[in-house]
Amino acid sequence: MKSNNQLYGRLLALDRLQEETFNEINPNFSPVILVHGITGVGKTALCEHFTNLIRHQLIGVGETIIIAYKGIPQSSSTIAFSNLLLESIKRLRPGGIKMSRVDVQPDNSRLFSTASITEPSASELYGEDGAAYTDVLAVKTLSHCEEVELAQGLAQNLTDLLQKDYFMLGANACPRILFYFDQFAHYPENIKRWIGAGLYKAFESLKQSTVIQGSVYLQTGTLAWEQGDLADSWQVHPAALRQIELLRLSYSDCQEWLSELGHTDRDLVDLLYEETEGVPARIKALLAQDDFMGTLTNLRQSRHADSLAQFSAKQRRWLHAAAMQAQCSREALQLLIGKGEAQDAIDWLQQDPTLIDRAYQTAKSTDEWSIRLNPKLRADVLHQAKKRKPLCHAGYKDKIELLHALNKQVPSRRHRDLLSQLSPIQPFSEKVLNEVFGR
Amino acid sequence: MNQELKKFLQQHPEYFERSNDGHLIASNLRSLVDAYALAMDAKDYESLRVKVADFRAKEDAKLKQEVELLNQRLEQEKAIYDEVMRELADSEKKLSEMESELRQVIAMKKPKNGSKSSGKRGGYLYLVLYFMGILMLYIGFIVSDRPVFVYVVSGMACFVAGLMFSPRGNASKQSFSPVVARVSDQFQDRNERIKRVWDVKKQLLYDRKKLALSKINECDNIIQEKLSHLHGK
Repeated sequence: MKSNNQLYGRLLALDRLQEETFNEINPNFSPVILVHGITGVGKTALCEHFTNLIRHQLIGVGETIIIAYKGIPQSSSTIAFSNLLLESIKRLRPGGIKMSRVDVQPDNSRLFSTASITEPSASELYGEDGAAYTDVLAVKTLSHCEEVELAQGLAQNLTDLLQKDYFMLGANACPRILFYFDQFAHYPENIKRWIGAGLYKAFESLKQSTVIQGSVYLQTGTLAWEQGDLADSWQVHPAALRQIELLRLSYSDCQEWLSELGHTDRDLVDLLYEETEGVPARIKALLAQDDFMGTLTNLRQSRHADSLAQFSAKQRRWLHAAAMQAQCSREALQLLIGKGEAQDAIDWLQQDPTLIDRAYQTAKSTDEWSIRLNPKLRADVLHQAKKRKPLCHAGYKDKIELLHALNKQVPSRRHRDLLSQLSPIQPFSEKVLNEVFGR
Repeated sequence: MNQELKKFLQQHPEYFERSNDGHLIASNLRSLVDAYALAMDAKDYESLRVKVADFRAKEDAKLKQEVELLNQRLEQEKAIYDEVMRELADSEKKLSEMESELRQVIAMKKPKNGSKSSGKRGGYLYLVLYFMGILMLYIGFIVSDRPVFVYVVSGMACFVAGLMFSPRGNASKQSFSPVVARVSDQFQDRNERIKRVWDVKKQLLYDRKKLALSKINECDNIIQEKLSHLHGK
C-alpha cells in the first residue's frame, strides 16, 4: 500500500482521519478515535503516514505535538511516561497538571519501589533475570529496535521532544497534543484504564490551566468499538467514540500501486489481487519474495485445478460478483466491482451463453438489466469464493446488504444515483452545486 | 445534471436536512449513501470531494481577503472618526473661548452705560447749583448795602460746582463712551457671526461622527457575518 512514502487508495481515509482528529468545530467531535480493520490492512501505515504529514506540516492542522507509543507498554514505561511527561509539561507550562499514577503491577513494583520521578536506569528497566521488558516508549521517529538506548535516554528524549517542539512552536503557540497508541487492544488492562481515565482527564483539564488546546487519542485495533471491549477503557459516552474502518484495497488502487512498482501486466495484477484479496500486508509479503511471479503461478495451478481454472483471475472475480445474487442486477455488479469494470463484466457474461441461465432486460432502460448465472456454475463459484476468498466474499455480502438496506429507503435507482452524486459534496448549497455540476 | 439535482432536491425533501451551510443527506441515509457512492465509483467520489474542497478553499481565501479589506476599511473609518472627534474637541474649545471673550466685551460695555446715566443725573444738578450760586451772589451784592462775604463765597462755590457738574465739564468723558460701545458692538457682532459658523461646523462634525460610527458598525457587522461563514465551513 505504501511505496516511496506514498499511500495508495487511502486518500479518503486520510481525509477522514484529519477531519475526525482535528475538526473541533464539528459538534460531534470527540478526541478518541479508533482506526480499525483486519490485520495487515494498513492501519499502522495510515496512522504513521498521517503523523508524518503533520510533522512535516504537509497538512494544515495547526501546531501539534505528537507522542507516539508503539509496542505493548508495561507499567514501568507508563510510570516513566506519565512522570516525565508531566514534569516536562510543568516545566514548560507553569501550573502543570495533576494525574493519578497507573497501578503498578506486582511483578514490576520492585522496579519502582521509590516511585521516583527521575529517569529509570537501564538496570531498573531490565529485570534481575536479565529478561527485557518489551515496552518501548517510542517518541518521534525512534523505533522498536532501540530498546536500550531508549531506556537510557527516556527522560531526555521526552524532555527534548517537548522542549524542542515548544520552542519550535514559539512562545505564543497553542499546540494540541496527539497521542498515538498502536494496537491499543493489546495493552495491559491497567494501562488501558490509566490512559482512558487518568491521562485523558488530566489532559482535558490542561485545556483550562495551560495554553495547550487539547489532546487527541488516536489508536488502532482490529475490532470496531461495538465489537470489542475497547470502549470500556475510555470515560467517554459510547456515542461520542469515533472510528474509521479501513477496508482492503480496491482493484484499481492495487493496480495503481503495482504499476508504480513496475508491474504493469494485467494478468499478474489480477492474480495477485485474487490471491491477496487486496490486503496490503499480503501483497507486500508476496512482492518481497525473490521469485514472486513463480510463486503466484504455482499458487494458481495448485488452487484452481477445478472447474474455474479455465477462467482468468479477473473473470473469476466477475463471476463471483455475479453469483452474489440469484438474479444479479447491473447495479449490484457495479456496486461489487465498481462502475468502470462492471460494463466489461456484463459484455463478457453476455458473450458466453454457457455462463448464463437467463438474462433480463426491459426496453425502458439498460439500467434494468439483470442476469441469472448458470446454477451449477454459481454454486461452484460461491463454494470456491467462500473457501479461497473469505474476505472478498464477506465484503461482497456487506455490499449486497447495503444495497438492500438502501433500496428499502430509496426505492428508485435514479434517486440512489443522484444521492450518490451529492454524497461527497456535503454540505451543499446552490453555489456548490453550480460550481461542481455547472449551471 | 445540475437542474435535475435541483429538481430532485425540491421534490424529495424527505431525503435531506438543512444545515448552516446548506443541505445534508438525511442522517438515517447518510452513511448508507456514502458507502454506496464510494463502492460505485471511488475515483469519482474522490474527485468530487477534491473539487468541492478546492472550491471551498478558494471561497475561504476570498472571504479572508474580503475580511482583510474590510478590516482595512474599518481602520480607515476609525481614523476618520478619531479625526472628527479631535476636530469636535477643538471646536468646543474655540467656541467656549469665544463665549468667554463675548462675555468680557459685554462686561466692558455695562459700566459705560452706568456712567451715562450718572451724567444725566449730573445735568439736573448743575442747573440747581447755577441757580443757587446766582441766588447767593444776588443776596450777597444787591439785597445787602454792603457785599456779604459769606453769600458771595457760597454763591461762587455753587457756581463753580455747577460748572463742574455741567455737561460741558463731562464732555471728554462723554465723548469716550460711544467709541468703546461702537467697537465692542462690532466685536460682539463679529464674534456672534463666527460662533454661528462654528456652530454649523460643529453640527457638520456631529453628522460626520454619526456617519463614521455607522460605517464602523456596518464594517464590523459584515466582518462578523463573513467570519461566521468562514468558521461554519
